Amino acid sequence: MFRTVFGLMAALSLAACLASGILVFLGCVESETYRRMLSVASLAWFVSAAAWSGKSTRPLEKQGEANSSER
Amino acid sequence: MIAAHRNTNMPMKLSQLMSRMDALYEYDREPVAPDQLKTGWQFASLLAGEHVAGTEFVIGAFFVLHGVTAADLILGLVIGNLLAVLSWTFVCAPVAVQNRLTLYWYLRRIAGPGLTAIYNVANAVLYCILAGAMIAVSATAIGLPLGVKTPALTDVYPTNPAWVALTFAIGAAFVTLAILGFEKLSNFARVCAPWILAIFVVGALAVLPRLGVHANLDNFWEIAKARIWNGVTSPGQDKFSVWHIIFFAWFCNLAMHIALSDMALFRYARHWAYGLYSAFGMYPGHMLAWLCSGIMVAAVGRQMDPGMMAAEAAGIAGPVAVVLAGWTTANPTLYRAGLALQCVTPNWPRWKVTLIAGFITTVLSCFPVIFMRLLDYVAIYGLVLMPMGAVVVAEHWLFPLLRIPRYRAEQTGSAVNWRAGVVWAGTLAACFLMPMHLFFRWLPGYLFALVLYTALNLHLRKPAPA
Repeated sequence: MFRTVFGLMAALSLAACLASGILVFLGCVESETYRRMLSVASLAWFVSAAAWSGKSTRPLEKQGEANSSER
Repeated sequence: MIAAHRNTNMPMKLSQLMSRMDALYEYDREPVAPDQLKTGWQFASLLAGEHVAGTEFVIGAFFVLHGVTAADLILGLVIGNLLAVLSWTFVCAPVAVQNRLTLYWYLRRIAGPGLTAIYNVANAVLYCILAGAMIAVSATAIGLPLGVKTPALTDVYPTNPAWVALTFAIGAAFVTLAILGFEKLSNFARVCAPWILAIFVVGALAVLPRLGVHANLDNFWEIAKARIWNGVTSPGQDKFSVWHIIFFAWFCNLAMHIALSDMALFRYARHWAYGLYSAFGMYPGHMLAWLCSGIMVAAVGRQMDPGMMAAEAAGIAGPVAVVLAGWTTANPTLYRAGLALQCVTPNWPRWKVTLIAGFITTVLSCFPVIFMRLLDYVAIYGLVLMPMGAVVVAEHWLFPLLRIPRYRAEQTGSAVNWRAGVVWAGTLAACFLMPMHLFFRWLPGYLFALVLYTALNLHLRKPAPA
């Protein structure tokens, strides 16, 4: 249940990050407002995505990572 | 399964070294069992997250500085990334799916444990240089509020003490974090990946009006051709054509696909066609992110300063993204350098080896040439490891066709397959002497290595059955 909520919050935060860029490109918001929006949405992303990620297990990555090389 | 034949006459030290090396990789010694195979969705999500790194801030910007035109860039990235996806699909994934082993264990059977150890050390040194570049990239972001001047494009040696102090401080922080807990940090790194890609897109969108692009995008292509990828090279940079872009996009991950490091990943694939999932990493990470960083650098008057560029485009989130992108690349790279070096260090604990690798990395990061010549370094990185990929491919595919016995090093119990060693050294020497741009040398070098290794083993050919 909590995982779903955190996942949804993370998706919305990421969408807000992208929306801030679209809004400043379209001239709907000023540069300062855009930067503030982006900072808040980014913070929300890290909180919700970290909580969401902490509640999931991804075996493929664990098994593969020690020997897979950097990209 | 893998028979670990040992030559009883082998010197004690070499034997001990091999035992230590095998112990490090013991957990993935056996081929992956059928019930451990993963779904396509898992591959897609993993590969999508892994190809957005700190290097992307620098690579896309360098294309602008190297005077590539907009049409050449788009065409080059589409074709080059497609070739990279096909290399994963038709070279790396089939070998991995057929034997379900990591490159380490497969190479051990083919090249012998001694040569595999040398390969590991070479890999570790290359990892250290890559991590050093990431520390330098992060230093451009952290140095911004501190007023530390980013070195110039043509600088080779450190130009001011503040830069050295900053890279040492960041290096120390990255190494400490890598020592304290790789697992938790790598989980956090995965959280960062989608956000970093979003910052690339948002940052590029935000600076488009500054470049003169209209809100309805009707003049985007004209602006792209005239003000972003306008074909004008920056001082000290050589001119890139569509071929440079195609080859760069193709070999950027040469160590992973052609040199087969990603066997570690694709041994979990249900089918070799899972190599196509690498497109989820290539097109967002190595196409969209590179295009976005190109737009961002054009908006700051082509100054190669990733921290400043990101701050201009995305405010405080920009430099944070640069630092996180640098760190999420450096952290696993330091871990892998430590792992690779651990096989030649006498019973040292992981923290000690990581510390040594981190110190080397930090010293390297002081030198601006490490990230100011990043494109050349990426080419050299792939080039150095590529011949061993050719050796494995020759042994896996060509030897059965030509009736040449496989896995001679394993069967004879020899520590070093000297033929593989000759091919490795000979190919690198040949590539060094090739009269062409560094970016184009790996392909003839790869074919040379395939032919040379096959030719050196041709005398072992068995007669055709009657």
